Amino acid sequence: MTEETALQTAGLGKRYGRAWALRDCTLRLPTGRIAALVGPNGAGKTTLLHLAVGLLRPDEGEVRVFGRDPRAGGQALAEIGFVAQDTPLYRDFSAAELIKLGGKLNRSWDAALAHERLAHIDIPTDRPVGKLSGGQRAQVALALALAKRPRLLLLDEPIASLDPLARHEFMQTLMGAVGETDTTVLLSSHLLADLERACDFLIVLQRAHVQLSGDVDELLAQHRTLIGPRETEAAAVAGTATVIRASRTDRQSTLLVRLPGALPALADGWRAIDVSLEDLVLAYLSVGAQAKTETAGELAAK
Amino acid sequence: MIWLTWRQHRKQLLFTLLTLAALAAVMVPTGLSMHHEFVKSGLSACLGKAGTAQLVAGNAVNCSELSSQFSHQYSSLTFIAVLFVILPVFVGIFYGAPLVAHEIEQGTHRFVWTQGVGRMRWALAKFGLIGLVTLVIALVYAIGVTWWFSPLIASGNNGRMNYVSFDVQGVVPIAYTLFAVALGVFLGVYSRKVLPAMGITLAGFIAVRVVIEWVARKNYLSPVSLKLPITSTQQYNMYAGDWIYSNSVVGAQGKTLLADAQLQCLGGNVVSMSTSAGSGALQANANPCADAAYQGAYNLQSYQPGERFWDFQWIESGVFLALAALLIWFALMRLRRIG
Amino acid sequence: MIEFVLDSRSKVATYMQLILQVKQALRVGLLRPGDQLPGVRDVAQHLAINPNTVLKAYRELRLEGLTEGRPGGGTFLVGTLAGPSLGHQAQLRDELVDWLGRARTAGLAREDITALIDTTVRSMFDSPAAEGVVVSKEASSP
Repeated sequence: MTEETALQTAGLGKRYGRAWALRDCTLRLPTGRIAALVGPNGAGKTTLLHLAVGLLRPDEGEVRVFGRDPRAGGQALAEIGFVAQDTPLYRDFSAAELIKLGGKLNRSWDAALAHERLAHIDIPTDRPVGKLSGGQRAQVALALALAKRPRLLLLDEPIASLDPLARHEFMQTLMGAVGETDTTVLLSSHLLADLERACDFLIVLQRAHVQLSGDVDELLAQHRTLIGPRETEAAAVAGTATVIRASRTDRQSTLLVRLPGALPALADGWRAIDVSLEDLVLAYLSVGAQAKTETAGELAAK
Repeated sequence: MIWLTWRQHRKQLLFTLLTLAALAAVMVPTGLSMHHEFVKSGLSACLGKAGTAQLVAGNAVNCSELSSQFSHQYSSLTFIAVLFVILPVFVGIFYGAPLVAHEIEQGTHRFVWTQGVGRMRWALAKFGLIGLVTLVIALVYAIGVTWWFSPLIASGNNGRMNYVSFDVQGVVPIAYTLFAVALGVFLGVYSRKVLPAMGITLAGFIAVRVVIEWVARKNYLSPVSLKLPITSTQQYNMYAGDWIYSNSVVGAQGKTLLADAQLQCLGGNVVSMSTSAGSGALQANANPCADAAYQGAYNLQSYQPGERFWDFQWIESGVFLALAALLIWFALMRLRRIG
Repeated sequence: MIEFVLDSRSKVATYMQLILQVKQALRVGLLRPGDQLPGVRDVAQHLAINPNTVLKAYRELRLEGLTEGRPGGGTFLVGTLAGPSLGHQAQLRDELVDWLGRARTAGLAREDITALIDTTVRSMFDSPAAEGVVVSKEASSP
């Protein structure tokens, strides 16, 4: 693999008390991707992001960003931009003061860029950010994260609490910014629809475990929905495909399968259709939901 | 970090300065008036004549009338002593407890700890700067209060080393303040919530201060014992500023005859007898001076000399500063692991 | 300059939609050789899509010889779409009329015919990855 790795985890785990918020997480996000981290609330998305940015310490395994431990400080943190859930900022600071703050707390900081971005979308920089709308605050948080000129940008549900227009504007700003630079992006959401058009890499989290991860194009090419007579189901898939999800009537089987290679010739009565990204995510989420133990996130959400 | 700390705490600092200014507005005039009266009434001269020797001639200077007059005149202001005793803990509560807890409660730690500065450098800078600010604040009011209180303390019978008087003078207020701030920071880091941290800081501060003041302080240095025969014409100098642990009358064989009492005999008759306890032992013995058991008896005073005031100040400050350093250390260690 | 739109409900891949819009614009004359396509960053921002998707579409257009890059930057149109020759079109039209007649004889109503044409066109043009589609043999079993 000649591609550089932006984020890599190996057996990463984090627990709160006896419940695991994240377990056995092994994935590799190459540079240049815009990755979607999807999963329901409590699945472990925030935990994974906080581990990647050094806010949490792993209980198991390890996480590396561009080869460095994010908790090692200094250089590692300088390359990561982070927007936490609900965009926490000092509410009584104005955007201009926050930009000034960034300049003092970070070694490489492009204050002019941040000011330019905010001016471009008409966000006042002299008003306390607590008085701005949610969408404006999200834009400020994004501008601050981008002013670091990070190589990896992590966003935790940045648009979850925004109205549709603010959502669209945020994604526009994000895509425009990424288009200019070489930044790798990982953003989480519990709604795939928000991210579908923006992301070319997918990570599905369910019940503290990674259910699926990979390039979207590859994943779509590797999966099919096979439909055919129930009686010949076993023969149709034997040795060629892994069934991810199946639904059956008395006569027909509908199987979502993962293929190791190209689609083989199908048996009589069987046909294959493409899987949409949404169906793919749903299938893997329902597989993961069948796990027996509750995760720390789900316990906390109660 | 300096700019950030300033920007975050500027309102708090302003409020503190205004409070100090308000206090000064009360204290300066009353202090000047007290100092003036202290001299004008002759109390200062009287006390000066009494000197600080441990033993003085029998019918020596008696400033008690002047001093009780003075104390009575300013008795209403002594309640301020109470205020100054608890002032350090308020600094601890309002500067220390929210320092980390507020960031975590508001979630802004997710913003500021992911900037390039990192959480340990952030913590060290914040702790250091706030420590410095509270040190200066404490210094200002320690100097002010020491000046303000000196006439009242001199006029009292108990000297600088007595409880409460000791606490509001010299350098210990500074140590108490830094301890309170460290305690607040420590509890803020552990509880991660501002209000509980504030509450427990208050309780913890009171508990530690009470224990050290009542239990530990008298053990810093071994007390001095001074024997004075009951037939001596000299007296213990009550204006020497000593911290008296106990007075007793001890027989020639070493057996304690009277506890919590002093006795002076001349020509077989009681010249003066003072006891703090009930007069039970004395009722049985109307004239102990004539009693054979009292032949060769002496007064025994166990005390800390007034000159040891600064020794005690530095020892107690050291104790509290060491506790403060320990608390900050544990706070930093805990901070490193917080999720 | 062309402004792209996206049909979010379409099954067609985003990059393909961009390509088709360029081709359609060329066909109707909205775009002419020498015109410049909007920058990758601007398209990504405008549509809130991944810049790589835009890059993919532009790369495809370049491979097909419809566009080229210039030294100063930017993507410019060079080719034209070879319009189907008129002769070809006339023959195809006749075959279509013939086929329509047979469909009506078979009992298909207008909506049936439109639906059949629609799904067949879609499966042929829009899903290039579905080469594995096998027509069900159920109909042919006795």
